[in-house]
Amino acid sequence: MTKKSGLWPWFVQRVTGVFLVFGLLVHVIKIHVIDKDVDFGIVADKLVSPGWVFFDFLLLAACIYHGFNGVWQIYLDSNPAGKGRFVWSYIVVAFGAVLLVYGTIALGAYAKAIPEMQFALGAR
Amino acid sequence: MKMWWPFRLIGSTIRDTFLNRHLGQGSFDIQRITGLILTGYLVMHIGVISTGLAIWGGAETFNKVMEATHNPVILVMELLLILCVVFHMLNGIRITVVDFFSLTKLQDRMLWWTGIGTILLMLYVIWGVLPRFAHMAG
Repeated sequence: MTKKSGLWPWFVQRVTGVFLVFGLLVHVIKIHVIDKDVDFGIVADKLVSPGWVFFDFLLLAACIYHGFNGVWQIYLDSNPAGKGRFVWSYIVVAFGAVLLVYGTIALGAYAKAIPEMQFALGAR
Repeated sequence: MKMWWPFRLIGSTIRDTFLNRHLGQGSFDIQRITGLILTGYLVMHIGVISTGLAIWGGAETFNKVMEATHNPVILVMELLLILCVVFHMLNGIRITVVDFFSLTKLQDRMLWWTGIGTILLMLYVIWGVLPRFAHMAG
């Protein structure tokens, strides 16, 4: 993230942003307007269909990319020295990757659509 | 010797906001502040939803956590969160439109639409959607 062009992060930030406009609206409407309350059973029932599991995973990835890339942009505005940039770039990417993996595993806790994951996590 | 970077960021933000009195400076600041808030919320949200995992106790823990959020303080904070999302979203759409369609001349007008749009959307949320959350007021 020091010498490469910033074109792709800039572009993907906009693309994920547009996706999140629709994705977050669907997410909030589905959870708070259609399924009024939230408990384990309701979430698990929604995640029976692989469509919702896939959508939630895409939403997770887009949110993490958009948010962490945004935070990285703010950091870059402080014009950091090369060594600081190098270190923080790996920290931000690592934090994002860990969050993505952890979030996907958490998604699997409810996903009846993936019974193998259900059994392995013993969520019931 | 440069100051430590968070202080540089805060200092330059305050200085720029005082020096640049254009509407665009304010929208840039609020976009970044709401972005930081929303990223922090994202991390917390993943943590809260992940209480459904077996290692944290599974369904009972998750249901207990959800019950704990049924109080008016959380409701107010959720409304503030939606406010952050609405502004960040509308302003982000404006930025993307300007970036991809080179509509720099219309930027100021679009910024007013963003502000008005935020107010209208928040009014809709409060009057149209809030009654559904009445059960959360404890």
